[in-house]
Amino acid sequence: MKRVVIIEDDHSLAELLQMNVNSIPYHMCSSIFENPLDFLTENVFCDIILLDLITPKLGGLEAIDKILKKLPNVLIIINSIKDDADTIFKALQLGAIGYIDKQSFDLNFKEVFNSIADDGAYMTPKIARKVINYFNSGHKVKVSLTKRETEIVAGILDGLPYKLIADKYEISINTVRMNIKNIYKKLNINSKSELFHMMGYTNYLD
Amino acid sequence: MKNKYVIILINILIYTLFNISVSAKTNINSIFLEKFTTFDGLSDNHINDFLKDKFGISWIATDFGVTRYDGTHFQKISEISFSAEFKNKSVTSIFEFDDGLVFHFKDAGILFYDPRTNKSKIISRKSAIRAKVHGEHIYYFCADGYLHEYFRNKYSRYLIGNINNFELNLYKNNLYFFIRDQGLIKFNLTRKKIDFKIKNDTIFNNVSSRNVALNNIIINKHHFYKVHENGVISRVVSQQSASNVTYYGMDLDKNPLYIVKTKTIFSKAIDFNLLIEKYHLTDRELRKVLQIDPKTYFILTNQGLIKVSLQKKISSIISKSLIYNPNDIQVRRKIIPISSQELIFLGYPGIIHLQNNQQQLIQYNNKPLPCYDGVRFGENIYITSEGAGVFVYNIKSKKLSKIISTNFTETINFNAVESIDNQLCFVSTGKMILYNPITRRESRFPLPANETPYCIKYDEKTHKIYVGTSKSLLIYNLNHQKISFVKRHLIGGAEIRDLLISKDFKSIYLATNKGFYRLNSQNYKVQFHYVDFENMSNNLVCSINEAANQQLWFTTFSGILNYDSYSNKVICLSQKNGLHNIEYNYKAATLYENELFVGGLNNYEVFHIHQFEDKDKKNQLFLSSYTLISFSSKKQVFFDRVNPPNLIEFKSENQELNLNFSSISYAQSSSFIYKYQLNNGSWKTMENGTLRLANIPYGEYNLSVKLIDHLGKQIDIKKFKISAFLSFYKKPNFLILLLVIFLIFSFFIIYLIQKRTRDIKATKKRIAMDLHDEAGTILTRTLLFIRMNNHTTKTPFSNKIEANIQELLFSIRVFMTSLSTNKSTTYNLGDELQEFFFKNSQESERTFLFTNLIQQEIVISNELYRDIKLCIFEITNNFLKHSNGEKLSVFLQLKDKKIILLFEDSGNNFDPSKSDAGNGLRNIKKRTERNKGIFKIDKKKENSIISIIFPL
Repeated sequence: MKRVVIIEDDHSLAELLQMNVNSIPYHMCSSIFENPLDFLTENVFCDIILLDLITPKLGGLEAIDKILKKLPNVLIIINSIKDDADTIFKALQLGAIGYIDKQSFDLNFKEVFNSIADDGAYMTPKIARKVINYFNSGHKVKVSLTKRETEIVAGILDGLPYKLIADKYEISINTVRMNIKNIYKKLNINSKSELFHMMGYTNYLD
Repeated sequence: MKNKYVIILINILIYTLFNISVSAKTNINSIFLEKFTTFDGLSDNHINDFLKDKFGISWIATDFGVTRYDGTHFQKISEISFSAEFKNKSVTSIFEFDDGLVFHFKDAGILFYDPRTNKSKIISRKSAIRAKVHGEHIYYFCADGYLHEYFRNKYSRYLIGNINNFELNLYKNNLYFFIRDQGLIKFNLTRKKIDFKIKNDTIFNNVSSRNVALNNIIINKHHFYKVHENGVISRVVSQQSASNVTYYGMDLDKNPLYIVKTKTIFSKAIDFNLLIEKYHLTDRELRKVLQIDPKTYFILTNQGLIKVSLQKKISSIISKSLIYNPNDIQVRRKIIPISSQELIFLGYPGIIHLQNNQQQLIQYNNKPLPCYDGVRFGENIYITSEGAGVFVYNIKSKKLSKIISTNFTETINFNAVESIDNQLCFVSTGKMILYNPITRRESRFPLPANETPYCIKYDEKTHKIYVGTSKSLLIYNLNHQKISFVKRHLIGGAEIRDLLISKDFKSIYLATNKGFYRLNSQNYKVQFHYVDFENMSNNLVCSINEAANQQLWFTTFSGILNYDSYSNKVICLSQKNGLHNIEYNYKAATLYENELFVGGLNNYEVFHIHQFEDKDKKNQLFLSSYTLISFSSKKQVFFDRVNPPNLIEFKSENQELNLNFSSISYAQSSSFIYKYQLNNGSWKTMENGTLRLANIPYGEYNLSVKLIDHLGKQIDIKKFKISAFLSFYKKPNFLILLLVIFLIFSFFIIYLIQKRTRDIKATKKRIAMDLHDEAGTILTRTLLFIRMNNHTTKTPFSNKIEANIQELLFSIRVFMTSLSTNKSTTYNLGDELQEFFFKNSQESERTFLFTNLIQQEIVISNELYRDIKLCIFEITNNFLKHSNGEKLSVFLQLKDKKIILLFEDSGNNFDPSKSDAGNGLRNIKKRTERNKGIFKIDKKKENSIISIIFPL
């Protein structure tokens, strides 16, 4: 059973989301927090966090790092109306593993939860574009995408569903999801390495 | 020829009287006359009044304004300093008032003028007949019959009556109205009342302004009268005749100084009339004559101003009679003073013995004697001649005898004779004769045969004999009657005409045809050499004399030189400085009792050294004014000796600075020379005391100015500070300031832009946040509720509500995105549409086929991006609501900087006339038109094609 925590400032909405999450087999949401700070101050153990980005006291983006420090293995899914690619990409760089458009939560939350269920992740075309741009950009990137990862990102950009991507490259859909998660990890590695580089601990990762 | 000389001899033997005593310390002045007219800077040639103020500046009233005169420059002041009604008007009289002046104009009124500020103040615009200044009061009588008074900005008036043809006189705190043919009114200035009137006195018959003088003197017919304070009129006993006196004044010694019939000036000190005749001034109307200082007079005329300066004579001709008979003495040589009353002149045709102003020509055997040199030995004078032998002249007996000897034959010309150690030494070409006048012994010593000896001197200290020749300086030793050769010293090929051993025995001076030399008497090295005489044509020096105070005097072929051996300064004097000869003769110069007796081409003269050395200690130079001239303006600033400027500033790039220097002394001021030095540069001579400065590099300058009198002596030196500055806008600092201002302005603008951007960003962020928090969240929540509800009980209304909320949420999201400051591109549009249609495919039962053909990333403005997305949403919505088609194919393309969207609806019953659909299409049309795009629907039987084009 996966324990899910919802961090959402609109309690009514949070209850709706809770209902939806609880409808997924092997998933159970028992805790709702108005903001990430309340969550951090209480010792609640969980596997997945549905995190709103715009929350009182502590913003969602700022909270990601703190949550991951406390619970390194937790899977953070961004759940926001704010769908601009920059913000979501930044959240992914900080360590989030997926994104659900709050407006169509009821329509695609299952897809996202399914994607992360088997150690995978979920990616939209907009994020795929950011990923491509990020790894192709001129600034220092510690790691690069594998050929397979690149193919998957290109497939997402072409608007192909995961199923079709899997068919195209003759791999399983879980492989597609796993590759996407790997891409996110690479983003996170790069993000951290840049941070450490800025702080002077360049050898930390070497 | 012989007969002629005999006649001359007879004439001279009749004892001609010397007109001037040769020994008297003469104080007779030279008189210099200068004429000034409009050509020199006067405002007009009709001179009405002249006043020298307490600061030493003179003011000249003319028929065409006022002229300022500082002793050197004339400056018209009325042109620039007076208001229009006074400009260039006739000025009758000038008075000193406060620290300025009062000008009484003939018709325009009365004006006060302050020279320090160069500003004037109108006292009265009324035409005043007469005006007087008394302390702080200005009195003027006008045609209205009132005497007006101005006192400390207040005006009063006192009725006098209608009087014409009168003269106003200020005498002992009273004003006297002298009325022609009528009488006199006395106005008491203390009581401000008429004290008394005198009527019908014949003294006042025909009395006009010309007949009233200072101190209440009336000049009537042949006599002078004085009007006393109590009204008593008494006749003044005077040696002068009052007949036809047209001006009556006094000189500084209170002696009468007056003009008769406007033509003749009477003065006790100067014979003006001789000057008037000499300078052809008889045709002028002489209006006034004024003595300004002991040496300066001004004559005011109807044809300009005349200045008469007295200058002490530095030189006098010894005998006028000899000048008037130039044939008497044709060549002037040696002058031997015996006493203050007795002089011996040697020359051609003989010896002139001058004693007690009587002269006698001495000749040998009544024949002309060409004397050349001579030396006194006791009562005798030993004389050499040209081709006549050697003679002895006894001063007492006045007998001339010839020395008969084989060494002194007529064929030998001895050019020089000198007394050496109780003996006489004669030099001639090839030999030197040592002669003992007592024993009459002669010793002969050889001299170079190819050199002509011109002079000989004996150094008593070192017992050396120096012989100056045509080629060198020969040096001998005299030891017990024996002469031994020491050295021959060449002086640059110069011919030595005279030599002198200084009184301190340290220097030997040589007079040569190449100027004069000063040698060190020990090593004979040249210590000083003076050649190329200033303003003199000939550098041949004839003689040397040493006076006291290390002063040396050289006569030359072009004048006399004064040399100060202490400062090495040389002053050149010529006829311009009052000398009487153009050229001076060899040997003909002797210094005796501070007088230098010299013989020249024209006559014998005596140069008064004490007069030369007598400096005018009171004289000083001062900056009189400066003028700043630029292309468009002229500014004049006046100063005087009491008020010098601290700093003179001018813009050197576009202004010319004319500095006018002058001297306190007016006498002969035009012959003064002004020299200047900027910082430590060379000394340069100014032109007429005016220094023009322009285009000099900007900075502060120390200006030194020297005043040199007509004899070349430095009288005064003063220093001034001048600042040549650039306009601020031309200085580098200005450019720096400009740059700083520009940078500050730029930073400010950048700051404003950034602030505005930040504000806009913050506002947008806040709006977006509000939309997100308030509207977005509620709508999202509502949407989810409705969807949940629709899962169980779906109704057409709930479907419509869901669709509307979705539409609204889409609009809000698009709007929020457009508020973002992030720039969207064609790639972003493609990606978003990809997601959008993917979602729609998931959410609905229809098929959406999206083909993204964009291959170039171009930035799209947020507004356009929003409109494109909303158009797509409308079309998609219309398709979902109103089309029966199963599939919507969407093509996104970028071509020629245009975004092209093609929607192909597989259905054919899409009706734009339906109200909902119509609204949506109108919105699309509105958005495309707003972005200058194209919206087109192509409805066919099988399908409908909508095309939208947005230019980027």
